[in-house]
Amino acid sequence: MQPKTPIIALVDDDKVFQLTTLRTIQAAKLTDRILQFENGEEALSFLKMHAAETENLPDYIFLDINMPFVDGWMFLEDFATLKMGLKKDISIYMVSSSIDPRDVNRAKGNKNVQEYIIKPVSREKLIQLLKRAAA
Amino acid sequence: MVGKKRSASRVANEKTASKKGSVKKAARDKKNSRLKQTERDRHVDMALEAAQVGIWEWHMKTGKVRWSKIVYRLFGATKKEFKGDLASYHKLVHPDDRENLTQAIQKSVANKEIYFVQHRVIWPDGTVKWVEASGNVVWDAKGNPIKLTGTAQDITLKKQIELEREDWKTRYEIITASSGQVIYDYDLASGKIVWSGLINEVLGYSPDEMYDIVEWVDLIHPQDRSGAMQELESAEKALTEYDIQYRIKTKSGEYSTVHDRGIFLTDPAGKAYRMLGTMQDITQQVVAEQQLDQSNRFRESIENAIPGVLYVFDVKGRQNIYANQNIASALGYTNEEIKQFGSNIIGALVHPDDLFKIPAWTNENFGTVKETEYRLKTRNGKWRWFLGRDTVFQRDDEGNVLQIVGMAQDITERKEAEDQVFESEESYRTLFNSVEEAIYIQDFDGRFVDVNEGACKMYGYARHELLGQSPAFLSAEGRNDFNAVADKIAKAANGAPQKLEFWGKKKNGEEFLKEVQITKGSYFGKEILIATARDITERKKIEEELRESEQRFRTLQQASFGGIAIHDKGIIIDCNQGLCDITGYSREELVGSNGLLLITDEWREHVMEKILAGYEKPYDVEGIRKDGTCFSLEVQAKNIPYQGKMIRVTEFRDITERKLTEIKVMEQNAKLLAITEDLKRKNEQLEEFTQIVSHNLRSPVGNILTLLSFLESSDKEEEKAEYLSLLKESGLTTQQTLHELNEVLKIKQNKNIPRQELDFEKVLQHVKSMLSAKITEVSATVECDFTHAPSIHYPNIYLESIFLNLLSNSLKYIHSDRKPVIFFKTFKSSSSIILEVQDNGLGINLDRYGHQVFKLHKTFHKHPESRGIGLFMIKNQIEALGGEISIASQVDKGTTIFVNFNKYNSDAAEDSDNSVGG
Repeated sequence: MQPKTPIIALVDDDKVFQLTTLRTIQAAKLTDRILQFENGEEALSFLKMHAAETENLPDYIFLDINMPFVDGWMFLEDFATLKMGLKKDISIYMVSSSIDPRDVNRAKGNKNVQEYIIKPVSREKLIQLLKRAAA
Repeated sequence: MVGKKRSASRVANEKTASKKGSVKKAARDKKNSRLKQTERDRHVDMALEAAQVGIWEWHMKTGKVRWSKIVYRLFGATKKEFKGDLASYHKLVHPDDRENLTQAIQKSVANKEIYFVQHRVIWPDGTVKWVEASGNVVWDAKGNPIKLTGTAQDITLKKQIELEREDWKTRYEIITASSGQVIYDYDLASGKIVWSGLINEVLGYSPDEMYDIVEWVDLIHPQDRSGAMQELESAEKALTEYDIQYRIKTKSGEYSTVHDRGIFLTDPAGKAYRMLGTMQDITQQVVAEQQLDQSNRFRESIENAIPGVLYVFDVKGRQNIYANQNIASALGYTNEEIKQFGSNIIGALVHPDDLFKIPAWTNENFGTVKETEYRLKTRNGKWRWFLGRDTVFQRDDEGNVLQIVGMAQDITERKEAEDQVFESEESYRTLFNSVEEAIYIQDFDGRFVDVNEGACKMYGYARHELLGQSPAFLSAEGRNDFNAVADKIAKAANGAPQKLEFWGKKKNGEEFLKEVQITKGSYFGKEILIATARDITERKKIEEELRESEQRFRTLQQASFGGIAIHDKGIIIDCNQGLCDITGYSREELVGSNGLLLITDEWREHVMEKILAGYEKPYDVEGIRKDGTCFSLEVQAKNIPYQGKMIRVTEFRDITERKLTEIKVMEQNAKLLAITEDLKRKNEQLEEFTQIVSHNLRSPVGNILTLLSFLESSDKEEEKAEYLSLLKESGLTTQQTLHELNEVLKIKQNKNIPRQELDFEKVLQHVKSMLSAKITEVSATVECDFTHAPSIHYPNIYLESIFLNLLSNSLKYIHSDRKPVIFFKTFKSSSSIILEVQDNGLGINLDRYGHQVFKLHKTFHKHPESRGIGLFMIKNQIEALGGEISIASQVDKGTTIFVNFNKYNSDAAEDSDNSVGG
């Protein structure tokens, strides 16, 4: 059986990141199901709306920290409570340009965060990450 | 088995048979004895009947009383009156005798003696009869009384005779005892008095005129009346003899003194019912007695006026010729007895030891007085001392003394007092000698009047060797200053006790140091000096050692930096120079004064508590110097035993310096704290800057790199164009961010940006004009109140920036439901000026977004104009000038921004700026 195509959500206000990541995923043919959110608020309302729909919920979330309105940390806070109602286990990768050790440590301390990835993310890194995640 | 059984039964039968036989015999015996009994009883009954003696019996357990017929007869009672119990029996007895009867029963039972009682019986018809009852108590085996049984007989006649006889007997006795006197017979119940005929002669009344007690009382002299009546009453009560003298009015109206004596006759119950007595007129006798009394008194007074025994003594005949009455009182002899001693009087009366003292008389002239103290024997055998002063009374022609007249005075008491003095002198000497110290009694010239054994021992001389000598005799040569000694003696003689040291020299030549105390005193009435001396050679040695050790201690004290005082409950015994230095007092001023004077008023009680509690740990108080200045003082004391009591060695440390240092340290701490705060804030700002660089700068630069790699690898023109456009955008963003950061850095670096006095009102007007289009567009109302703080010393561009940002923010996030109202207000809080900008806009959930309100590029509203730069910028401006910005907000209600312009603009903060800068 062919493994199911994963759904990937990108949560970032950075247009460049959104575009480059999208292109990379598409080029690598990793998946064609990519959800794009400009900030945490949008992503959270999507998750709430589709909490019971396994076919629509993302498998992976690439989450930025620095976003207007609801930032990455606030998203994680809400996700922790939201998680119980979700039909799917979602892996969150924190993707940020911050090299501030306080941000790194804070992300590592959150059990819902799989990994902290520092921007810019190279194509190779992204492919490696997605392949490992899909496996 | 069968045989045995049969024989057993046979034995039993035999036993039964023999038993039957013995019962018959007993019955026969009993019958015989009963016959005998009734026969005897009949004899007894007949005898009792003949003698009219009744038999009675009282069962104590059942309470039943049984009477024989005769008893009923004696009591004049039938079964109707007598119910066969004690109660109805008692009712028949005369009320006055009932108690007597009860007591007789109790007495008989208690003492196990024969019951005997005589009592009256009142017959139902009122006749009174006398009954005599006697009996015995019958006891059971355990000794409990079962019944009382006995006889009763009528003794009425016997009793009457007896009473009458007693009556007459008494009368007779009185008559014989006091013949010639008035006899009376007084019946107490009726008050009637029967007088003998003599009353007519004595008082002039006929017996009928004084027929009762009331008459008698009326005749008694008013002054004697109550006495006579009281005596009568008490005599009747106690049944004693009435014996009294009183004056009674005679028929002629004069008063005669009578001697009245009477006795009471009692009924069997012990109650007086009659009085028999005599009355004698003793008026003459009383007068005679009074006269005799007077003459006796006169004589006695004369005799008493003569002190001592007056006597005339015949020298030749060696006998006493006359002695006055005092000889009786002095020695107890009568004149008769004195005469009987005859020529032996001296030998008989004078104490053998004193015989030789009795003066002999030969041919002394008239007027020669010889005085002698001698003891005389009293009539009861005791010796008394007399002082005899004799003088010539009669001489013959040749001048020989024939008689002397003398007077002997009893001086026993004086003699005894003298003995006591002697005894006290003895005891004084014993005491004097028992004192170990040497004691000298000296006259005012210093001569020894007396010395004790201690003094003799000290010097090795005998007492007599020392008496009469002066202190020089005991002096070690050349070692004493006698001028000083004389001076001390003179002072002591004036009443001021003196103390001196004296080098003594013993009989054996040994020299020693003694301490002498001289006080004024009296010695057998003379004023003298009492000197007590003590060998202090040893003590001096110890004192010397003590002084050395004290010297060492003093040296140590002086060496100590602090002040040290030795004190006893506050009173300074000694102190060191250190304490003088600290307090400004001299050592002389401090020693003897109260150490509490060195403490300020409000601390004294505290210190006294510590002293009394024996507190030994250091504690801080406030000290006061001689000049009145106060200073911080640390006190620590240790209790040490000294000369038998606990004293305290207290160290005083002037801790003014320390206190000042403490204050400085505290000030420094406060400064350090402020600096730390400031640094913390600065550090926070730096961290914030790092974050800005990390997020806002790394991000676009990273994007540029990513886009470049995409651009390189892309072969589609559309894509390339897209990447290029994005690259351009990223470049602009980077440039913008760098510009903003540069602005911030400028703000941070440019602390000394020129300030001027700015009018809030004017600044607001200016900003309003800049935003007038927007204000009009949203029809907002901008109000203000700057009356509490109208102006501020601040950089103009900053204040404009602050006002512009806050106002534009409020205009941006307006609530669609209502007309926007924005209110600017300033006021002063402590030393700060505070700006408050309040709007009624959208508000913000601070719980959720509070942490990023003033961060760069943060927006909380999906609003097209949100850029997230304004608040960040003004925050930096405000903080750069030592201010603070904060926010309060409620979603859908509105937001208030507070700007505290000079929160950290304290001196400390400025200092820290300087120190960091330098």
